[in-house]
Amino acid sequence: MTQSFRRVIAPFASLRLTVVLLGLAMLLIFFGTLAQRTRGIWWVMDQYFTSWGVWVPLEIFLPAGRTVDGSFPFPGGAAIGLAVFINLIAAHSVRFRFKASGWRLVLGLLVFVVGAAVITWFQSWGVIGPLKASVGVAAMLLIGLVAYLPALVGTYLLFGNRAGIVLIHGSLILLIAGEAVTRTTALETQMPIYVGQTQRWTQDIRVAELAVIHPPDPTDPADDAQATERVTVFPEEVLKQGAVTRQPIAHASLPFEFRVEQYFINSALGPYQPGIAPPPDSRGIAMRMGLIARPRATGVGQAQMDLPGAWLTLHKQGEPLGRFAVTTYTMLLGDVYRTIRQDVVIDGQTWQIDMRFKRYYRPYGFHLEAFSHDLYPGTQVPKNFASDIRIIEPGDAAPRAVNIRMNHPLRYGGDTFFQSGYIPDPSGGADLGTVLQVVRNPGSTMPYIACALGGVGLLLHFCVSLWKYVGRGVRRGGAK
Amino acid sequence: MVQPALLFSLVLAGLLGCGEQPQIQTYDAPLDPRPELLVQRDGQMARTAQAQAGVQPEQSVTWTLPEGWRQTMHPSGDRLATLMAGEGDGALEVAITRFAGTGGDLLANLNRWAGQIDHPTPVREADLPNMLSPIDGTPIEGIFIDMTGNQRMVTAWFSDGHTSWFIKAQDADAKVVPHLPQIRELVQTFRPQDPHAGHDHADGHDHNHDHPAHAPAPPETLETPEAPEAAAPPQSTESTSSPESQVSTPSPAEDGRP
Repeated sequence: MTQSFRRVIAPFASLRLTVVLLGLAMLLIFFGTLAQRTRGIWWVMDQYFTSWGVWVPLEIFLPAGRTVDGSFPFPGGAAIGLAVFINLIAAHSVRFRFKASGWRLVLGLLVFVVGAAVITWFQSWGVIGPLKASVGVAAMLLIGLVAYLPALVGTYLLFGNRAGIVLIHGSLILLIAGEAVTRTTALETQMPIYVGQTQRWTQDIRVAELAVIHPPDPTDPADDAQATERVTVFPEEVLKQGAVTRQPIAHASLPFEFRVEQYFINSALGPYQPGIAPPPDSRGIAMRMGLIARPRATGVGQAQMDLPGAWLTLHKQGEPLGRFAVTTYTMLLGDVYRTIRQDVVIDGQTWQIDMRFKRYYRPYGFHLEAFSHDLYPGTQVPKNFASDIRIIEPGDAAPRAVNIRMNHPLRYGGDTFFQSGYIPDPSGGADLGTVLQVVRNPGSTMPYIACALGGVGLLLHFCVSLWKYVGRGVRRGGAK
Repeated sequence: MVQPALLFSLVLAGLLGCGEQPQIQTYDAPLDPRPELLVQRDGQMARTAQAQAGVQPEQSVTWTLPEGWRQTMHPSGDRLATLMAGEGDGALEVAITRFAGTGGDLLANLNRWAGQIDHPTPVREADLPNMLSPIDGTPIEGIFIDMTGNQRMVTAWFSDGHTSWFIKAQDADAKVVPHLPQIRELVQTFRPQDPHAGHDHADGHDHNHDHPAHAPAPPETLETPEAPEAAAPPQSTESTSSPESQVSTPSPAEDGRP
C-alpha cells in the first residue's frame, strides 16, 4: 500500500468516526422506537432503518396525541450502515497487514479460501437443515466448529496473533453485508390455500396493486386448467402518485383510462352516512358503500396491516364511465383472502378491476390435500398445525407430497414455506385451509456465518492472549 | 472528518439517484377460480336441505330482461346474476341471488335489511302490510318487499320450500323509483326452467360476487378491521390534499350481510 493511498483512507479508519457512527445508530434506534408508537413498524422500518436519511419530527418526543411543528434531518439506517462498513474496511486496510510473506502467504490465502468455501457450504440450508434435524442444535454447533477450522488456520497463517481480531472485524463486515443483501433481495409473502385448491401465487400483504383483468369469455369451452386471463397491474406507487398529480393513468393494453381521486393508506368500506346519497356517478360497490380512511396500522396488537383503497373515476376517451371504490378491505366481505372484482363493461366486453395485495405467480402450484389443527386436550391452545401439500409442477405426472408443519418448513424452488396460519370456517366447522409464509432470502445464512466467525475470532483472540500471558509468566518465573 | 463526510455525501447522492421507478406490467395469469371447497360447501348445503326435504335437486330459473337492461355478471356462488337497469347516472344495479332453504325468518331478514338502510327498527308484524305484497301470476310463490330508509330497497323473495331466490335492488330513492315498473315486470317473468338441473355452477371462472352471502370471519392471521359505521362521499375532485392526510377515526362495525 502506497503512502499516499494510506493518507487518503486514514481519516475513514478513524476510531472516533466509529464511535460517532455507533452513537448515531443508537440515536436512530431511539428515534425510530418513539416514532413507532404512532406510525407502525413497517413504516418506521422503511423511513428510519432502511433509508438513507429521515426527517425526524419533533412531535415524537412529546406525549402521544400532542403535536408540534418542525423536524430535523438525520442519517437513516442505510447511510449509517454504509458508513460503518467503509469505516471497517478502511480500518482493516490501515491497521491490519499480512504478517505472512512468501510461501506462507500463498498457503495462508489458499487455506483461507478453502475454509470460506467450507463455511459457505456448511451454512447453506441444504446442509444445516437436515443436520439440525438429525443431530440436534448442540451437536450441530460442535460440528460447525470443525467446519470453521480451515478458515481459522488460514487466517492465523496470514495474520499471526492478530487473526482473532481480523475474524471479529470480518464478522462485522459480513453482518452488515448480509443485511444489505437481505434488504435488497429478500421477499416475504404468504400463500393462502383452501383444502382441495391448487394455489399458484403468493401475495405481499404490505404492498397493494390495482389489477385490471380481462377475463376469458365465460361461454368459451376452453379447459379452465389451461385458461388464462390478461392482467394489467398498476403498482401502489403509481396510484399514490396519481392521487397527487391528478393526471389520468392509462396503459396501451386497456380501452379506458382512470384518475385516482383519493388514495387511502388504510381503508374500510361502510354504508353512506344517513342522508348522504352515493355519488351520482357511482358504479359497483360504491353504489352501496363508500370508502373510509383509517389510521395507519401500527403493526402490533389488533392493527396489524393496512388495507389500501382508492376512489377511481374511469373514462374512455374523455367520456366518463363511473366512479369506483376499490380497496383490499373487500377480502373481508367475500371469501376470505379473496378480494372482490368489479365489472366494467365497455363495448360489450367485460373488464374487472380489483385492488389486491401484490401477487407473485409461481411456475408451480401447491395443492392442499388436507389441513390439521390439533389442540392440547381440553383446551383451545394450538398444539400443531400441519398442511399436507402436493407440489404440482408442469408436466409432472407424479406430484411430490410434502408435509409442512410448525417448526418444520419446506424449502422448495429457492423459497422457504413456513406453516403460519389457517383459514377458519366462520360457521365453526373444520378449518377451510392453510396459510403459508413464503420467504425468499438469499442472505439468510449470512448472519449465522457472521456470528459464528465472530465467535471463533473471539475464541482465537482469547486463546492467543492467554498463551501470551502464560508465556510471559513462564519467562518471568524463569528469570527469577 | 471532513474527507469522510464528503465521500459519504457523494456516495449517498449517487445511491439516492438510483431508485427504481414502479412499472405497470401486463401478463397472462392462470385463472383464479373460486376454491372448489367453497363451491362444494354451497352445493352441499343445498343438497343437504334437499335431502332433508326429500326432493330432487333444486330448480333452475329463468327471467326475461326488461328492455334496456343488461346483465353485467354471470353466476358465481350464490349470485345468479347482476343486472343493470338504465344507463349513466340513473343506472340501477339489481342482484339475483339464490340460497338453500326457505331463506330464513321473514321478520329477522326484514330487520336486518332495515338496519342496512336506516329504516326504523324493529320491524314488527303490524308493519308488514305496509311493506309487503304478494306476487301473483308466477309459478313460484313470492312476496314483494318495499322499504325506504336513507335508501330505497325493493326485494322480490321467491321460495319453493327448499330453495329461495331474491331479486334485490337498493339505491337512492330517486334512482329506484323510475325503474320500479320494470323491476315488477322482471319479477313477473321469473319462473322455473329445468327441475333436474344441478346446483353448482360449472363455468369455473371467478367473477367474485360483490354480495357477501357467506360473510366468513377473517382469517386468524389477519387483522379484523372494525368496519366504519358510515362513509362520507369522496372528496371533491378539486381537492389537492395528500393521500397521507386522508385519515379519520375508526367507527363501530357493520355486520356485513346482505
